[in-house]
Amino acid sequence: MRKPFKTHTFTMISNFCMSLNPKRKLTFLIASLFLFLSASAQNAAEGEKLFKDNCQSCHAINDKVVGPALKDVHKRRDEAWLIKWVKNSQKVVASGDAYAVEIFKKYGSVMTAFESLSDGQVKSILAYVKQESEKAPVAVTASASTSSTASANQATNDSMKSNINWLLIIVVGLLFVVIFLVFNILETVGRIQGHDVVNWSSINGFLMLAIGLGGVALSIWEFMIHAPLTVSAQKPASEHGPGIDSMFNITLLFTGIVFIITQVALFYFAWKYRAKKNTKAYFYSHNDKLEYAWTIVPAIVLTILVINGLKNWNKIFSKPAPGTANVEVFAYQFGWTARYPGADNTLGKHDFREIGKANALGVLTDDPKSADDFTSSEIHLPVNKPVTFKFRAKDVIHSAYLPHFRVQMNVVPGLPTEFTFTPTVTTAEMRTQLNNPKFDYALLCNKICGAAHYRMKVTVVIDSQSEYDKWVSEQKPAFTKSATIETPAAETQTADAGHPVSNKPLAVK
Amino acid sequence: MSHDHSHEAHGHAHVHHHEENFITKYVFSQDHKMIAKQFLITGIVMGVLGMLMSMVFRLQLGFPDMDMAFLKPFLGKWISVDETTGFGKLDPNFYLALITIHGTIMVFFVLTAGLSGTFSNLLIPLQCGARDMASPFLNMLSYWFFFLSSLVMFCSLFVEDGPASPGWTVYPPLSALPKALPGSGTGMTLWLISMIFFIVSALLGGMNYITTVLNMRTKGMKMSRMPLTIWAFLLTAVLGLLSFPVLFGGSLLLVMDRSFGTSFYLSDIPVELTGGIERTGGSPVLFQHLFWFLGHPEVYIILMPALGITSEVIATNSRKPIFGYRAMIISLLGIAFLSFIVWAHHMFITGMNPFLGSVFMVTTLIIAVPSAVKTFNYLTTLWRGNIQFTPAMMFAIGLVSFFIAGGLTGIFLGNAALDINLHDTYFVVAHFHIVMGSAAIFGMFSGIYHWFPKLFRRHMNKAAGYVHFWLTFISAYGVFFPMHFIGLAGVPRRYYANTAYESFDVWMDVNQFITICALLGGLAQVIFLINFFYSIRKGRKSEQNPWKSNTLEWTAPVEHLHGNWPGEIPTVYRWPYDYSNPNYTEDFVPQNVPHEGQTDENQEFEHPHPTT
Amino acid sequence: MSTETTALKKTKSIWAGGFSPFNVSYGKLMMWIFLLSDAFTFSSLLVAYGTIRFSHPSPPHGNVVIEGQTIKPLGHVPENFVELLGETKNAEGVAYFSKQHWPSPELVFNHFPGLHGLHLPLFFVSLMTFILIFSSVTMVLAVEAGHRMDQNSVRKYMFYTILGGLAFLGCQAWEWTQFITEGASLHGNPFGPTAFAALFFIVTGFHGFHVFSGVVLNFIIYLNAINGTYAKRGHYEMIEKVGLYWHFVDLVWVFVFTFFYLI
Repeated sequence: MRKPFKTHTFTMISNFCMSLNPKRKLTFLIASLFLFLSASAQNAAEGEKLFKDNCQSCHAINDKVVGPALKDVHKRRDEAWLIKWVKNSQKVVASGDAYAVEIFKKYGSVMTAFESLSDGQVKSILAYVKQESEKAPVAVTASASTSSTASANQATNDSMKSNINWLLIIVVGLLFVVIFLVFNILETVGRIQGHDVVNWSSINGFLMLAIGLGGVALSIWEFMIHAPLTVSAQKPASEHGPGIDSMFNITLLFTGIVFIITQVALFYFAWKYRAKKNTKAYFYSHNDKLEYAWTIVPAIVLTILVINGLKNWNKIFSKPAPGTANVEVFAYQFGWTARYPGADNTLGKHDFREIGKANALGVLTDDPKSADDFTSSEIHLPVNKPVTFKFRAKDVIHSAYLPHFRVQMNVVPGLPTEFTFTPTVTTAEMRTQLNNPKFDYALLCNKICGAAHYRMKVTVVIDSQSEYDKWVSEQKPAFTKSATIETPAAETQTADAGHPVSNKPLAVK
Repeated sequence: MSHDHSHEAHGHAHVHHHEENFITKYVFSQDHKMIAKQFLITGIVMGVLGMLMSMVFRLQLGFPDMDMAFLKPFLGKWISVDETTGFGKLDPNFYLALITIHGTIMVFFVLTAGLSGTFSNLLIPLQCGARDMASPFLNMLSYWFFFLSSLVMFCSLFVEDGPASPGWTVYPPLSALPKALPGSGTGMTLWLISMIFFIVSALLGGMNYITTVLNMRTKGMKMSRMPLTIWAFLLTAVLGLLSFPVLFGGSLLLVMDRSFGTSFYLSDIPVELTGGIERTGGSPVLFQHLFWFLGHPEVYIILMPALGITSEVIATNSRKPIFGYRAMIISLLGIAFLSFIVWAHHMFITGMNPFLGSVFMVTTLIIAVPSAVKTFNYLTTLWRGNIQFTPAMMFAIGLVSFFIAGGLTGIFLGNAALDINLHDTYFVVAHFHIVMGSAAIFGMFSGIYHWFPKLFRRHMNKAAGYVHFWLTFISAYGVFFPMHFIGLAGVPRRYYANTAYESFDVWMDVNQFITICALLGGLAQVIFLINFFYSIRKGRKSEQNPWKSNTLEWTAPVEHLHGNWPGEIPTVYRWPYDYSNPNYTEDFVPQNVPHEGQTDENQEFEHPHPTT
Repeated sequence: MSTETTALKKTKSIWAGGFSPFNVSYGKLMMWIFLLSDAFTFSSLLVAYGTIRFSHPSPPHGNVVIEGQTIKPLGHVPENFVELLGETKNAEGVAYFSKQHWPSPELVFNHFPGLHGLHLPLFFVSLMTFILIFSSVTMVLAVEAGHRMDQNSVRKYMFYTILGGLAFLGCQAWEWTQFITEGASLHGNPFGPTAFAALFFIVTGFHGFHVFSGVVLNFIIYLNAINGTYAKRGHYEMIEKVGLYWHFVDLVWVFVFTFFYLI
């Protein structure tokens, strides 16, 4: 087994956000080197952004994710073919192109049609892929060298390793059989002698005490080490966050006390009252007062927690104040797009039947409200302003999870969901707080949604108001009529889609 | 519902057993003891399968850059091997399939059928004092439907596009759209077929268990004298009987959506994903309601038999009456009832109306009260006992420990506001693996060690049992305890690798530790398997009442008779927990021993109150 | 043994064991339990119906007016009735049939075999309901005859029950055929949302499957009754058990009828 990650010791609490895969560091360095050297650097830089926005959720350079690894894709097909494919792979498949059909069959899933990308944009993506392909072998060697093994030795090691695995399994298996036979002999001897050879009662009693109490101690120790690494230990970055956190702490206090008392009692009793010769247990069948007590006390504690919980829950899901800014968060396999309402503060209408036709989001361009809407593959929000995320999913259920803000809501196709919250800490402030200049808030997918579920992430940036205004001013409307590709969408629709039923000829008796 | 006519007159008249051939004795047996063994062994086989799957995905999670080429002989095309370097990687789609099938197998095949199927079958007739189940024929059908279901599930592993992989909860639209997930093709169809067979099996079993407990108790076996195991099995069967049909309804609609073009659960799905027909007008959340209406009672279907077994084992081996017998029954009833009105706590943030969320939060936290009562009663039963450390007892103590640890984290998750940040993270994985995974499997092990002499007429090796217990106990906590913290750090579950985000890297060493613990836990099960199968043939022969227990099954002869008791079925005169009763010199008084002056006609003695 | 510290009670309990608490055989108890379980299956389907039904707007109110003429029950309707209703709007300006809202069942199910071109809202389904209830009555009579050990009456009433069941299935087949020829299928529905047709086929189909199983069971016990199996056995309990099932199927239909046709 190679060990690519530096093994963190438990004490590296403060470093936790700094930890970075050495392989990545190197890749980053080389990438920047290339940026200066390469002639098509400008293109590749644009391509990198486009790649991250559009391709990364399903493709990697060296690994197969949902779609194939893209390394050397420019050598496999010519540019014109690739542009056609990216824009609408199904058309290429339908045209009977043998290579296209083969790829489609091999990977089994339909690649999203990126008809909104211009030829130039696809070319920059290809430039980026080309650039990455060329440096890829360097990165592999680099990663191999981190485990201080030359890549030449790697192969032989691997084949040896698989032999050792088998040997190991056989040895362990035999060991078990031997141990088992020893136990059997012990038991037979014990039966002949009339009592156990080993005093199991005291051994197990001792182990109950040692492992049980030791376990409780270990769990407290682990709590002290690991709790500071959790997001709950960080200052929540939203207005409702402290409410959730304080409730978490109250619950933790109650349950922690109960956990320690009951576990200690359990293992202590097990040790203390282990079987002894010539003793008889105390006949104690019930005690109504005791039983009432431990029904009522938990009930009271839980009532406190319930009331507290209800208060928080209802506050979080109370109706947003009028005028709260809306941002649409659109989820698809495997990525997120944010749509901002633009100057009119109103999101344009959308229809799932238009998805992938005029634009990837299915936004209706003939709705005047959509004219100034703009999209972004990074979510920017101004600090201390309430915002309502309007969630919409294209294909399957996703879940928008923003752990730092204590926000989560499922994104369900056909069912509009929303979550209103107020971010209170800017990205910059959080970076200083965590002493990690690379920190970014993230929105993660937290509902199983397919092969690249684990890569479905978008960066969330909390800006100060002025930064935010500047960012907004840089955005361009995405759904102006001229910017979209005209398709005869209305004509190709099936007759019964959204039209009055009377269009359909019917036989009536 | 048709009944086999030959069993029309069946009742208490099964005393004479006739010679049977191999097929009727071992294969299509109608004897509840043989059916129990069939359930157990099928359950163990499925359990091994589920466990091996968990090890593969644990390797992936603990060592994401590991060379998996050595798994190629087993997993075939699901390990993609780089031609130049020979480096093997697990396919992300197959990872999802592994977690899905692992969950399905463990929840349904091992902990529902393997646990409740085995022990309900073995103990209901023996502890109630009945010759056999009410309908031995339906009982046999119940096993064979389960077997068929297991077989279909197993076959689905070898489907071209891979087995079902949308998670064991199979939420549509993911499970309904093969274009969104390859496993949602044939693999998912087989999964649904398998589940439908499973539901039929569960219903046939449940009908039998309830009828037998209600109708066929021996004389004197009042409901207030029934062992807690039987109470647990009865309520488990009731839960299954009322909740599995809802899953059936839900699955039926999913089958229609997948194979016949309806849109019950599909809404606003673009044509490119559906294959030409527009799918709209349905409700994805509807499926979640139907699924969790089964899914939550299912948690208790898994747990209650384990709690019942633990009650029996702890009382017997503490040589003390179970503390608060009535409170134990009432809390079981409370849990059973409440389990039907808490399902939507799995759905707080699925887009369900927040008002419903607050209702379900209240009901969910109420269920902690009966659970707390059970815990305290177990502890008090141990107090001042004379604890016999049989392997069964050790596992029962382990169950109590897990029940506490997992139950307490449930208080976090049941709180809707906290669930916002914990939903679908590793915290949830830790919670349910401790409270219903580990606790229930410990209950199952406890039952196996305790009733092995009744099942196979021999003893298992004690020392191997201890090693098995300690290794399993330590490794289970080692696997699941650290997961709480990973979850609190916001790491979502069902991620193929946690390497995609740098902020998760800090948990890499913890993930490695978990994986090593999981492998250790797996090794511990090898000890169990050797012990189990060796002892079936070669174990020490059992005496009639090896644990000096009070319940009726130990009054039946060691040799298995079709009809259980050679003569009259014993009459019951007392409650099952007369251990260390100061009025008797022996520290146990079996249920069929009359009180002084008690006769068959005048046998209405209540169980004794504490003398002090 | 020392003196007992226990209290002595003299109450006799039906729960004391060695006795069936409900005074029924295990078979009948199992049938009850099965029916309870099956009730939950139907409930789940009806809950699914309710959820999807109420996620769509209700059908429009008001009299149906086509070309200035109010369509009354028992009245003649134009040839292209459905087509017209997709365009004709009521006073509130809503078309009677549209993808946007749930259709009104009495406008969908308004046919009667042999009475072509008449608007007969829910007449046929009422007849079906009547047939099924009638067959339940004959089942009661068969059970009662069984108690009297009257083999001939059992035979007679079982025959009527089977006939009723078959008639119901026949009616359902006709109604399905009618609905399908009008263009309904699992993934299409000329009267409105697709889900309406899909739910109709699933729920009535699942119920119809129960009726079909019931008819098969009825037929088996009918044959047994003819052969004198139960006379030899000394009791007709099997009739009671199947009777329970048959009444259950009848009861479920009442719910299906209420949900699908009346609400």
